[in-house]
Amino acid sequence: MQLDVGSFSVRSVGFAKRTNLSQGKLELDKDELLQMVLDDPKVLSATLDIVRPGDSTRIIGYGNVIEPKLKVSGEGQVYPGVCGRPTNIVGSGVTYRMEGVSVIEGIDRAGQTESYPGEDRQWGRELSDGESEQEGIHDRFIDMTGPGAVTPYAELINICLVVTPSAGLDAEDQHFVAFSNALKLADRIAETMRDLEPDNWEKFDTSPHLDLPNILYIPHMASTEPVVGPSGTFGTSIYGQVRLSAPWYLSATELLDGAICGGGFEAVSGGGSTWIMANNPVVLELLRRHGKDVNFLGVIVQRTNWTNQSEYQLVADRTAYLGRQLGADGAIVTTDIRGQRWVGTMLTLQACERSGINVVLLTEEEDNEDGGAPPLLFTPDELRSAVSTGTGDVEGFDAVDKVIGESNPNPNWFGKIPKLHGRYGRAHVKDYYGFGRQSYGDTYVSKNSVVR
Amino acid sequence: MISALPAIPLSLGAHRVVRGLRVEHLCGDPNLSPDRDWELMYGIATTALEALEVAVGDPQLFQSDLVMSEEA
Repeated sequence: MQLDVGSFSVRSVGFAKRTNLSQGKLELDKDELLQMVLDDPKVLSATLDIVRPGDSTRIIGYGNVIEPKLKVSGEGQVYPGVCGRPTNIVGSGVTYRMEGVSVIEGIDRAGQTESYPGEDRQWGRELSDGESEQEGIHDRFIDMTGPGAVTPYAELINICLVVTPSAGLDAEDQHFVAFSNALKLADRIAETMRDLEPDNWEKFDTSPHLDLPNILYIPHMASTEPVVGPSGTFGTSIYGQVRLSAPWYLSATELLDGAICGGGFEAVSGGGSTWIMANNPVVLELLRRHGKDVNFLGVIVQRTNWTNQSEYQLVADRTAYLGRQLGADGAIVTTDIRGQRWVGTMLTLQACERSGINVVLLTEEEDNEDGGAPPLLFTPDELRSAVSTGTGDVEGFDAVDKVIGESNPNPNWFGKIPKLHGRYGRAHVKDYYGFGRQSYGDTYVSKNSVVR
Repeated sequence: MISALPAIPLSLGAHRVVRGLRVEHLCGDPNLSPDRDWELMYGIATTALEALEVAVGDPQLFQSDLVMSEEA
């Protein structure tokens, strides 16, 4: 596939009388944009805020983080399949993207009885050590300043849309309202790029280069199906499909058009993937090196959250088989969820190695908690090389002046938040793909020569 | 140790590992009839008790025939 990506670098965002982009300056007509959202009969009220890097602001309980993108030519629509969008295959033609800006989706949960989508169907969540004293702040959040401003989102100008859905909607529908309106907003903002010339171009052509080593990327993406059923609107999706399914083969350029996205609120999301997967450094680096020193074969997305070892073994074997059929010499494997899902990731690595596909694992390590926990839950002998992105651990979070995401947030949200040990890397500092400004506190070398 | 993911306890050195059904329902299956559910649970528990009588050195996996057929 051939995809030309035109990037518009946005250096400032502000409210003005007209929604417009000019010379890196994005202006938003707040009334127009909010009216567009309020036209949805399922929205009771909505707020729009612009949050900039360095602001003393904490964005709480956020859902999808969306990079404004515009399909200028080629099949399909960006972020295909979600919220009823068409599922035509994307990844070819011309796409414009707004660099340095995101639209962040939020639901004002004040007064809500079902505060998280799927909450009543979620497994019980234990509080980590020290967390009980931080009542009301166990959610994921983005700090825009201070030692906790380590995620890629902290470096973006974030346009935060927080909606209050109308009464009587269940959590699933509430999330649909929030996500679909955030997408509508992102589409409207992206529309400002249409008649302008991008600041820079990157042209990706995935035609094969058979003289070079054949490399695959195998991300494991959690499915919400075992937790909330097959038709959830807030799980990480491929073309809108959240189901726990057989491995998917995608062209890398499809990811740049948002083919993998979704992943809304809290643990069922697998960390949220809309901005992350459209900007995944593994994908971008392999695409940039395609034809130079690698032949990037594409992406096998393995859905995970199976619930016994036989299922994990089956999908691991199917992935390795598909990889071999594609002629892979090597693969980079990542995962966006931990716990028992780790077994699936390791069995995939093992199956690939046994099929003659060399694997490099790119991963976070477990927080070592009391010092006794292994950095990786389970490692087969076939694990020969890994790159660590740290433990998702930072030295606490500063007090902030402003909290975005709820009309009446728990006062604790404004305060300093001490270092929280994560069970599987805390949601607010996860770094599965090496975006990382998180601290790499520990050092570890395993018997299988894990390197960093 | 009864586990739906035996790879984990085996790699951590648990001596006797019994294969369970699923993460959410290790020793039974709520989708089955009460009788069938009980039978499964009984089979797994019996396998675990029998495993205790086996002298083991390295970590060893035990499994009830019923569990295997249920997965198949």
